[in-house]
Amino acid sequence: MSYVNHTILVVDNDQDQAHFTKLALQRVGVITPVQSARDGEEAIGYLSGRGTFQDRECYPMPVLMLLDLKLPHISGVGLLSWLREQPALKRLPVVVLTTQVPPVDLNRAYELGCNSFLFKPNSFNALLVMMQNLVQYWLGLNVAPELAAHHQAQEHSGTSI
Amino acid sequence: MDMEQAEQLYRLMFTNMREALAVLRLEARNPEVPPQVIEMNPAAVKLCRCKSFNFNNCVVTDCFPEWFDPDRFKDYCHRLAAFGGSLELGEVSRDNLFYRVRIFALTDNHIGMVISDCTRYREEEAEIADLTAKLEKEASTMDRRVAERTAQLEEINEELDTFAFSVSHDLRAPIRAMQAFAEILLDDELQTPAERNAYLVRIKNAAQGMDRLIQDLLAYSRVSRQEITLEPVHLDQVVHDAALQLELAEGGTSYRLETASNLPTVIGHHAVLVQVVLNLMTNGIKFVPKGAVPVLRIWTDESQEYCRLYVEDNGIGIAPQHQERIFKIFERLHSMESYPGTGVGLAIVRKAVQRLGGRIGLVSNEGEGSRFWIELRRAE
Repeated sequence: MSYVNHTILVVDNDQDQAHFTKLALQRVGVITPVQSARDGEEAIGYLSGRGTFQDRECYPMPVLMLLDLKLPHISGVGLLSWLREQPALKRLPVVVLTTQVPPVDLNRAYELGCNSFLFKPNSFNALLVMMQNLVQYWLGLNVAPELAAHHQAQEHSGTSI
Repeated sequence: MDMEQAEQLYRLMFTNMREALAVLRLEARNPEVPPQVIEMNPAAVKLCRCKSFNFNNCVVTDCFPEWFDPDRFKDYCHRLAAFGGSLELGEVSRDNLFYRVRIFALTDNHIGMVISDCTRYREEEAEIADLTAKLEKEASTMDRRVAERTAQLEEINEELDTFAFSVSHDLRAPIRAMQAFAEILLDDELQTPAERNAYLVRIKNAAQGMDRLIQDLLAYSRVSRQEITLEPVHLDQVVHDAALQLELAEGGTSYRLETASNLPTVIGHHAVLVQVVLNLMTNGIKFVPKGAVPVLRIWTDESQEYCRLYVEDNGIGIAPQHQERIFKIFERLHSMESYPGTGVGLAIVRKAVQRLGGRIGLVSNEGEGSRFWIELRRAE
């Protein structure tokens, strides 16, 4: 099965890991180009459609965000809490896909409304299996919420997270 | 024993007692009349302040002026005479001595009174109270020290936990990358030679990154564990040596270094301080906007006891809310692409300064450069 018009946004500071995730998603049939952001600021820029991200042809609103919690500056948890405060974006399904974090961060992520929580496997083959399941469920079975697509997201004050 | 002899002995006993004894008489039919002293032993006479004592109609409150409340004393006596028994009246102090007074019924109109000197007892009590207070104080100091030590240990444990966690995270990241790249290369026939090459380069980079991380971790552990003997150290020499090492390490990069001369002597450890200053310099040079030439300024500022060494840069600065984080191990404010590094350098600096018994801090704002300082005890 292949998935078209299913933009996924991968937020990961580790470029190698982002590459693996993208590659694995492509291999399990995600045809729409997988978008990526290197850190919290870039993800906020993308989601709020700022700067070059205004062009929604090239940078469509995602239907799913894959989020690594280990980000510089604004942490993954910080980004998640920002997202859930944005009227236009707060329903966006978020799957945390992260390296090992302390339990406190895991619980915090759920409190802030992440929809699923996955630890990155060490092996690429394991990642392939995981991504296979993930797209089958989140892009296939799951019914996506409506997002207020053209609504300008609330300005981010930048320093509070 | 015949009556006469017994009488004599009772008399002697009464006379020779060290405690003051007195016999009081009451008017049983007229409770308004105050008790009168009809007999006293010599010890009681000594205490008596009554000039006209005549063993007949002397009022107790005249013999012992202001020892007792006259009305209450009278009431007590009448009650004892009626119902029998004895009564402690408490303590009275006169001329730095303490007396304890007790009265008891003799007949239905006679009362006995005993006045004993309890000064020594009081002194002992005071001494015991003193000792108890001292003990309590020591116990509370001990309690506080135990609490402090427990808090310290808890902090160290927590630090160790985060340390182990970060180490495993940051060391595993490159391993995971290497494994995944290798898997992709092994499994896949579809890649172009250029892609294969790019993957191999990334495996190599991951290995190099891991090596750097291990080197830094070893440096951190060395600084945390090595025996450090504190001795006078010339800061001039420290800054000079650090500058030399910086030149070697940063061979390619251009930067400007302005160092004040005649820096003072502090209490520290030469090699450790060179490492500290070198790390601060490297840090200052690294975090500059793209294209800018880094400028480092180094100077000191002395008070009577302490000396502060400043390392100032013209870099990108650090927002106040991140200033505590930067000293934590593996803490990185920027992505690998913009400013590469392991996130151990400043953690080494802080740990080293702690080991030298000094303090560290910084003044900075985003976009305005940073001024790090370390504070050490002066040598003289």
